[in-house]
Amino acid sequence: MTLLSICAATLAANRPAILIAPGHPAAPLLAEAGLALLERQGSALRPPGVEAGALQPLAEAGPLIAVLAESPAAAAALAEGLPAALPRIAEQAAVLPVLVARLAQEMAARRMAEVTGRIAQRALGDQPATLPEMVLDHPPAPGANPMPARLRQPLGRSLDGLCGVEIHLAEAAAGPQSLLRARLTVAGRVFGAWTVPGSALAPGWLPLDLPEPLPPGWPPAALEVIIDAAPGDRLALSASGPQEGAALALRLLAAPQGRRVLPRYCDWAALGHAMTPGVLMALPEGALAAARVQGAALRMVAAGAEPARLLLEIPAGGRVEVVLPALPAGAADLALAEWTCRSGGAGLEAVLLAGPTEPGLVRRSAPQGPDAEGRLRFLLPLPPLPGGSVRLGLQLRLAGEAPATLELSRIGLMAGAAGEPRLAPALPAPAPESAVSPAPRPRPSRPAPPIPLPPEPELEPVGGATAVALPEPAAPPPEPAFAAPVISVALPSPAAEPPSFRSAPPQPPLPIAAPPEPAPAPVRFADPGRRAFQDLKLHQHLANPEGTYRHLDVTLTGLVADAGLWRQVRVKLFDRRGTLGLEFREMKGWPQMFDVWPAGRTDNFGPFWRLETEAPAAALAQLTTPHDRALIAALLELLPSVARRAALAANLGPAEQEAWVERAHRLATAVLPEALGKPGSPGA
Amino acid sequence: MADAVPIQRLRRLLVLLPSTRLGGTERHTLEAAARLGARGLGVTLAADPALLAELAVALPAGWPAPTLLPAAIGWQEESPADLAAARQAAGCAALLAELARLRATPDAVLLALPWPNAGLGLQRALAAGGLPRLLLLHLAADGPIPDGIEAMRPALGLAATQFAAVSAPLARRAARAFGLAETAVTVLPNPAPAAAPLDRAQQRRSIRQMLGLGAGARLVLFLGRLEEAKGADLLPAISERLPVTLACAGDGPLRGLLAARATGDPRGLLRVLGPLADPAPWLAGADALILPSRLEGAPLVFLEAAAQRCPVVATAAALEALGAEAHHLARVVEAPDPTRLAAATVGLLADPAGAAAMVEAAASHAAARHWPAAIEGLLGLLRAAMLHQSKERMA
Repeated sequence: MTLLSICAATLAANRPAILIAPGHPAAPLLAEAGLALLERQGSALRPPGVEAGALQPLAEAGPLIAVLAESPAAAAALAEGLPAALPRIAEQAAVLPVLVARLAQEMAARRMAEVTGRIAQRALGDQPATLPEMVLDHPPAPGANPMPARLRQPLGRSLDGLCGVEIHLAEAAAGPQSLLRARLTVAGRVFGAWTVPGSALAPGWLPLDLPEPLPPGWPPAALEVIIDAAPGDRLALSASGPQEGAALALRLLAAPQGRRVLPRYCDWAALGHAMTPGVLMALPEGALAAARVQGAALRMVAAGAEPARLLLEIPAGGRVEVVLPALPAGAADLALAEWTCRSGGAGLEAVLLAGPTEPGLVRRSAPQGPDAEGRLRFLLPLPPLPGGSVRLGLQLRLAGEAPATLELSRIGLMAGAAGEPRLAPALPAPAPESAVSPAPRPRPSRPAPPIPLPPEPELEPVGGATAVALPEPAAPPPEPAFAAPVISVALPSPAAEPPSFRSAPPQPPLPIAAPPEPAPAPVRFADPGRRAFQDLKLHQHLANPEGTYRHLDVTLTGLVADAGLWRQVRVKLFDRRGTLGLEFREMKGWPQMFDVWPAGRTDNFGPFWRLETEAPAAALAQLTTPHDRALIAALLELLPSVARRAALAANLGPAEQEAWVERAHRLATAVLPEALGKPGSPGA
Repeated sequence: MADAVPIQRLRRLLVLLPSTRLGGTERHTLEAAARLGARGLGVTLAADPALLAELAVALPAGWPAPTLLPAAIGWQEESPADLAAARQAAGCAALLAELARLRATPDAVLLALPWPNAGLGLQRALAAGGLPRLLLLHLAADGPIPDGIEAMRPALGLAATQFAAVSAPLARRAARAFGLAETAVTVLPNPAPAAAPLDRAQQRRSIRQMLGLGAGARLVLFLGRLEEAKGADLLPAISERLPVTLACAGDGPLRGLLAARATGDPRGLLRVLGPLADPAPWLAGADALILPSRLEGAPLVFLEAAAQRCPVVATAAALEALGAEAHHLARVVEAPDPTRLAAATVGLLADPAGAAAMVEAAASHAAARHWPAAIEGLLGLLRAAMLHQSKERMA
C-alpha cells in the first residue's frame, strides 16, 4: 500500500477536502463552496499550484471526503493508497452543482453547530462573564430640542453582539402612571422590549439590557421608543444634535455571545424568542447596584473586565436585610443565589426570599450557614407572580463575634428548572379567573396606554400562614423574621458616577432619526400579563381517509400563565365528526401535566381524559385542583395560536390552517365559560 | 430612577514579590499574575532586580505576561529586620512614585509573602500610601513570631489589609504573627498545576533508560530544594535503608553533600539529578515520591505527583496543609525519621492495591484544586480588599 502524505497547512485548516484531478472543470465551483482542494503529486497531496512546503503523513482518509475525476479509471488511479470506502466520483459535470450545493449545506450546518456549541459552552459558565464594551457613544447635545415622544431610530449597522442600549432622558419628572416603552427590532423580530414606569426614570442615561447579545449575521437593528406621559408629568428624550431631525442620543453596548442577563423592565411577553430553559439569567450590574440594605454596608466592586459584585460588610452580631429591585421574571421558575464569605462568616445564617411585587405569597428558603469553603447556595422555586415581576430578598444573621465580608457571587433566575409550578398549595382557593378572563382584555384606546405598575421601591405586606413579608425598604420595616436595626445607607444617584467603559473610537454619525411622519410603524406592545408558550413541537397531524376524524398532536414547552408555569404540556386537538375536543393521555411519552390526573376513561393505550364541545361541564368536574383548572384555562385561551402554529408545522395549506384555527376558536368559546364557571369546585 | 450604589473598579493590580530566589511561591505568583491578566486586569509584577531575569524565563506560556518591573524590595533576611524593612519600604515607595509618575498608580496590591516578615517594609509603605492590599502568605513556621513583626505592627495598617494564606495552619500562624482574629485570615488553597497526565508505562521505560536501570527496577523520587527544611539531609540515610534507587532532583545548599554521598554509594542506589526543567515525566515514571520535609506551606509537588498518579510518602509536616485528609492521600510518617520514612516507602511499594486507591483519591483531590477556582478566590479577596480603602482614608 502506498503511504501518502498531505500538505500540513491543509491538514491544519481542518476543512473538508476533495482530491481532484488536475484541471477538473468543477474545481472553481468546489473551491467557492468552501472545500479544500488537493491534487496528487506522486505520494504527496497538495493544493493546486503548490509544489513545496511541509507535509504530514496522511492518517486514513484525513480530511478527504471524496475523490473526483472525469472517468472511473482516472478516479481509481487518483485514489490509489486511499481507503476503499472513500467515494470515487466520476460523474458527468451536470450532477456537480447538486453535489456542491449539498456539500455547501453540510458545511454551513457544521459551522452553525460549532457556533451554537461555543455559545452553549459560554452559557454554561465555561467563560467568565465580561463587562459589555461600548461600541457607539452619541452623547446628548447641549441645548438641543427634545426628541419626539414617539420615534423609530435606525441603528444603521449590523450589530453582532449588541447587548444593551442606553438612551438619554433630558427631562424626567413623572409618576408610575407615565410609561416609557422601547423595543429593539431586527428584520421584524423583537430582540428587546422594555416598559419602564415613570417613577423609575431620572434625567440622564437609562440602560436597557437585552437578555442575550444579538446573534451574528443579522441585518441592521432599529430602536422604537414611545413616551406616554400622564397629565402633568414631564418626560423627554435627548437629541444628539441641535438640528431638526437629529438622531437620538444613545449608547450601544456589545458583549461576547453567551452573556445572559435578566433585564430590568423587560417585557418578556413581547420578545420574539424564549428564555432558554436551564440557563441562568443573571441579574445585571444595575439591578444589583439598586439593592436596598439594612444592617450592613453595601458596596459594589468590579475586578478586571467582569461585572461588579455586590459585597456586604456585616458587623459582629448583625442582622441584615437585602432587597433587590423588582425584575420581570418571564418564564423563569427558579431563583438561584450563591454567596461567598470573603472574611469571617462563623455563626452566619441566611435565608433567600422570593415574592411578587403585589400582595401575595413570598417563598423563603431553609436557613443556611456557609459550607467548608465559605459558600452559601440557594435554589428557590418562584411563587405565583400575578404581575409577572419578582422581588428577591435575603435575610442574614451573624451570631459570631467577628465581622464578616460577604460577596454575592451569582444571582439570577432560570426557566424550566424548578420542576414545580409557581403555585403554593397553601393558598386559600385562588380563583382561576385570575388566570383566565372570559371577556377579551380591555384594549387600549391609545396606542400605548399606561399599565398600572406598582411603585418601584414598594413591597406589599403579605398575608397567609406560610407567607413572609419582604421588608419595605423606605418605610419603617414590618416585623421581619429577624428584627433588623435600621441603618441608613447612602445611596448616591447613578448619575453621580456614570458607568465607566472602555472609550469608544469616534463613530460615524447615526442616520437621522425618523420623525413620527410618515407614521412610525405603530409600536404594538404585548400585554405583559398574557399567557404564552415558548415552543411547540408537532408530533402528528392525522386525518383519516373518510374525513370523519382528524387531530393535531402537539407538545408545548414553557406554558406560562399568571397562576403557574408548566414545563411541558402535550395535547391532541381533535375533530371527530364535528365534535371538537382536547385529549390528554397518561402514558409513556406524555409529560405529567396535572397535579391530580382527572378521572376519565381507558382504552388500549391507557388512561385518557377528554374535554369536548359536548358535555364539557362533566369533564371539567374531574379537575380537582385550581392549578389544573388554570392549566386548561390557559391552554384554551392559547388554543387558536397553538392550532395555527401546529397547522403550519404540519405544512397544511392556508385553507386547512384557517380551518384548524376556526376549530380552536369554536372549542375555546364553547368550553371556556364552563371552565370559568367552576372556580370553587371541590378541591379548591 | 432608584438611587444606585457607586461601583469601584479594580483595573490595575500591582503584585509585589519580595523573594530573593525562584521556588514554588514565586512560580505560583507568576502564574496567578498572568491568569489575572487574562481576566482583564492590567498586572504589574515587581521584584528584586536579581530575581527578575529568572522570573521572566519562568513566565507561564499561553497567558498574557504581566509587566515586570525591577524594584529594590527583596527581603534581606541576613540583615536586622528593621534595616531590611527600611530598605524595602524605600524601594516600594520609589516604585509607587514611579508608577504615579507614569499615571499607572495601582487600584490594589497583591503582596505575595514567602515568609511572614518578608514584606514588613512593603506593608509599611503600602499603609502610608493607603492602597487596598491583599497579603497572601505562602509559608510560616510554628514557634517564635519572626523578627520585626511585633515591633512594627502599629505601622503596618493591619486593619485595612485583607489577609489570606494557602493553608489553614498557615492562616492560624499568620493571625498569631500579626495579632489578628483567626477568622480574619482566609484560606486560599494552592491550585494544582495544569498538567495533562502522561503515559506512565512509557515514562517508566524512558526514565529507567536514562538512569541506566533495568526495565523492572523500582525508582523513588525526591523533588524539591536540597535544604534541611525539605529534609534533603535525610536522603542518604533513607537511601541506605531502601533496597531501591532513590533519585534526588533539585538544587540547593545540600547538593554537593548529596553528590558526594551518591558517588560513594557502593550500591549505586542514591542518584543526584540536579534541577529538572519539567518534573512531570519523572513523576509519571517513578514508583513513589518521597517528601521528608520538616516545613511546608502547601506543597505544589504533592499536587503535581497526584496529577501524574504517583504515590507519595511524606512526613506529617510536609502535608500539614491537607489536614486529616492527608492520611487518605499519602503514606504519612509523623516525624522526619529516615528509618520510618524508608519503612513506609517499602510498605507502599509492596502494596500496589493500597497505593492505587491512594493515588486515585489524591488525583481527585488535585483535580478539584484547579486554577480557575483559585483565580475566582483571588479575585474575590481582591474585591474584598477594595472595601478597606475608604476606611483607611477616613482614618
